[in-house]
Amino acid sequence: MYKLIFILIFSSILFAQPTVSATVDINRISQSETIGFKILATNVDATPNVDVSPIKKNFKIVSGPAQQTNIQWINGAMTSSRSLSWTLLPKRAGKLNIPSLSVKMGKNTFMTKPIGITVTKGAGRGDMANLFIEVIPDKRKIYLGEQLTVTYRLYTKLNLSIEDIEYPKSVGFWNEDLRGSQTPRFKDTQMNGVSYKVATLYKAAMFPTQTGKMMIAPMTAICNVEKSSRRRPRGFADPFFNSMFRESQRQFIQSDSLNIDVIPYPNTPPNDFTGAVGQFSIDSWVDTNNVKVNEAVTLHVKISGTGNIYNFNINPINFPQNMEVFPPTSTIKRDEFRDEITGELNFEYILIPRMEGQFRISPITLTFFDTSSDRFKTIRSKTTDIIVTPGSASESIVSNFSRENVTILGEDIRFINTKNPKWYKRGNQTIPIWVWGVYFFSFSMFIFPSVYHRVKHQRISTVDIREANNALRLSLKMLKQENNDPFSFTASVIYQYFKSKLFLSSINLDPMTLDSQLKHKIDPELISEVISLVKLCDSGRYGPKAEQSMNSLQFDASELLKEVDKAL
Amino acid sequence: MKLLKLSILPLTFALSQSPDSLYQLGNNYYVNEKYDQAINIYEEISSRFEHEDLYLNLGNSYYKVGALGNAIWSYEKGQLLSPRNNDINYNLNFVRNQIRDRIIPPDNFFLISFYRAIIEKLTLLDLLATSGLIFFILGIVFIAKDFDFLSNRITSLINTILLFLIISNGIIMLDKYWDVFDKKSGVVISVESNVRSSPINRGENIVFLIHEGTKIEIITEESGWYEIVLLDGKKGWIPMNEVRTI
Repeated sequence: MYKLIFILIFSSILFAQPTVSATVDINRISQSETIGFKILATNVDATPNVDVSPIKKNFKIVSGPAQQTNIQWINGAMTSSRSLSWTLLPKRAGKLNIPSLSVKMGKNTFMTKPIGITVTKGAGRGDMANLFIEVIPDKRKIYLGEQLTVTYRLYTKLNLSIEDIEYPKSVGFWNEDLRGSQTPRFKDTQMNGVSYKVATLYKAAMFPTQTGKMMIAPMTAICNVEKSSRRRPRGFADPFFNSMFRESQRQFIQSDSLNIDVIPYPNTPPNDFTGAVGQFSIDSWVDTNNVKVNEAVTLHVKISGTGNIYNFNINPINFPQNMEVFPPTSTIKRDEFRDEITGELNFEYILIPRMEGQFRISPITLTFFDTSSDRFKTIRSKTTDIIVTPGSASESIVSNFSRENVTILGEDIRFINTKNPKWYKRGNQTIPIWVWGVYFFSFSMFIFPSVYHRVKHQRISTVDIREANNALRLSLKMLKQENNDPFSFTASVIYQYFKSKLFLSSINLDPMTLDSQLKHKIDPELISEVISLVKLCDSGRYGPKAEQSMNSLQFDASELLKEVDKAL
Repeated sequence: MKLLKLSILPLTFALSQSPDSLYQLGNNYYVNEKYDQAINIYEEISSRFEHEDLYLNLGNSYYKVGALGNAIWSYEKGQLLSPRNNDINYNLNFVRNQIRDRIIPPDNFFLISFYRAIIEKLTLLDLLATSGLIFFILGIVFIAKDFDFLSNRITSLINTILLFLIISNGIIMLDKYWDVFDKKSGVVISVESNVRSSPINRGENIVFLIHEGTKIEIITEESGWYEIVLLDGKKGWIPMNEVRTI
C-alpha cells in the first residue's frame, strides 16, 4: 500500500515536466525606481543555477538573489516550485531588455524569455524633483596635480534616512575626503523656486595623476523614503501613532557621472620638478648651530602651503661630506577646516658630523607649478651653517692633524686635447731625423780614429808633394823671364824642377845623377834629350853653338819640361 | 637619411680644409656637446692623418654618445701611437671599467708578465733610439780607447756589456715589430655579439656571447667573418661588422 502511494507520488513528479519562467513585477519604471525580477522553476527538486551576468550590462543588481521554495498538494498531486528573485536598478533610460538567461537544473538547461523594460527619464531633476543628487565640481578643466573639489548634494522633498552610500570611484585621481564621514544634516533651500531640503553627502578633493579626459563614476545612495501612509488613521489622528504606522520604501538615487579634462602644463617642467602643484613656501632650520663632533643635530625642512602635499617629494639635499645623514622622517599635518588641501609637510633629517669645522648646508629648493599664475616657480630656503666644535680629547687630536684627502665627487673621462698636434701622414710614419742623426754620429765616431791617424801621418810629407805638384808651373814661370846668363839660369831651373819632382835632397845635380835618377821613370829618348840640354847649358856658354842656341834655350827647356812632366 | 646628411657635411668641409682647422672645428663641436658632429670630423681627419691627441678626442666623443666599443677602439689606437700618454691611459682604463665582459687572462710566469708590461709602454721608435744611444756610447768608448784614456780591461768589460745590450735590444725590437705588424686585434662595437663555432649564421652554433668594448685578437678572416681568440683563450667566429680592427 505504501509502495503504491510512493510510486504514485513519484510518478506524478516524474511525469510532470519541469518549467522555468522569468517575470518582473513592473515593466514601466522611471530611472530611479527598481524592478523585482523573478525566475520561477516548477517541478524541480534542485535549486536552479542562473547565470546573471548578461543582466549587468543594463542593470545594476541592488540585492538578490533571494530564494523561495513552495510545495503544494492539490488532489494528491504535488507541485513544487523554487524561485530566485533580484532587485534591479536600470543604469540608463530608454527601452532596456532583460536578456534571455540560461538556467541550469541538474543536467538540463533552460532558457528564459527576454523581457522588455521601458525606463522613462524620470530621474532628471526637473521631472522627478522629489529626490536627486547633484554633483558640483569647482572646475571642469584642471592641470595635472591641481586640486579638484567635488561636492555631492542630496536634494529632497521627502523625509528620508540614508541607509548606505556608495562613494564614487575614480581611476586616475588621488582622493582626499573633506569632512565626509559626518552624518548629513538637512537644511532648507530653494531651487528654481521650489523648496527642498538639502544635505551635503560627500565632498572630496581630487588630484589627477594622469592627463587626458577622465571620468568620475557616479555616486549612488540608498535611502529609505517615507511614504505618506495610505491607511487613514482610524478614530483619532495622533502624530505619534501615525509615525508608528508610517511605511518606508527603499529608493536608489544615482548622481550623474562627471567628465573632467586634465590638461598638461603649458610649458615643460624644469628638471627638479617633483610634481608639486599649488602654492607653497619652504623653510629649513637646525635645532642648534653649535654642535660637537659626533653629536646629532636635526635639520627640519618645512613645506607649507596649499596643493597636493601628499603627492610629491623634495629633491635630494646635498649634505656636506663628513656628515652622516640618516633617512628623513616625514609627517604631514593637514588643516581640516579648509576645502583646499592645506597643510605642512615636515621632514626631519638627523645629521651627525664626523669632523670639526664649519659646514654649510646649501639651500633646499622646491619647484612647483603655481596654479594662480600658471607658471613654474622655484623657491629656496636659507642656507644653514653648522659649526662643529671638537668633541672629546682623543678625537680632536686625530682630526687636528689629519689632512683631508681630495674628495672625489664623481668620476669622468679627462678632457680632450685642444692644441693642434703635429700630424703624421696616415700610413707612412717615418723615423725622425734625430734618430738617423744618432746612428750617423755614432758610426762616424768609429771611423774618426782611423781617419785622424791617417791625416796626421800624411801631414809631414805634404810640403814636398805640394812642391812637386807646383814644380812645373814654377819652372815654366821662371823660364819666361829674361836673364843675363840664360845658360846657368836654365840649368838651375831644370835642376830645381827635378829636385822638387823627384823628392831629391840636394839641388847640386849633375847630368850623371840626373840620368840615374830618371832611369826607368821615363823613356830613354827623353832622358837623352834632357841630358843633352843640361850638358849644353853647362858647357854651352863657352861652346861654339852658344851664340845661336842662346835665344831659343829657354823656350826649348820649357817645352822639354812639359813633356817630362807628362811622362812622369 | 639624417645619418647620410651628417656624413656628407663634414666630407665637403674636409676637402677644402686643413687638418688643423678641421681639428679645431671638431673641438668646438665637442665643447658645445655636439658629439655626433665632433665624431664625424675627427673620423674624417683620421682617414688622412693620425695623432694620439686626435684619438683621445675621438674616443672621448664616442664615450659621450655612449659608444663604448668605438671609444675603446679609439683609445687603443692612440695608445699604439703613444703608449705613455697619461690622458689616454686614464680614459682607456676609465671606459674599460664600464664594459660588461670580465676576461681574466691566465697567469703567466711573473717575469713574462713583467716583460710584457714594459713592452707595452715602449714604441718601436723608443727601442730604435735606445739602440742608437748604445751605439753612441760604444763610439765614445772606442775613441777613448784609441787615445789611451781607458785601459784595455775596462774597455773590453764595457764593450761586452754594451754588445749584450744591443743584441737584447734588437731581440726586443723584433718581438715588438711582430707584435705591431703581425698581430691583428680588434674591439667589439656591437652591444652584444654572438660568437659562433663556425662562420655560418645558424641558431645552434653559438659558443658564447661577448659585449661591447671587449678587446679580441683576430686570427684569420673569411668572407665576412673573423676568427677571434679572447685573452683567456676562448675561440670562435664573429661577423666582421661587429668588430673594429685596431
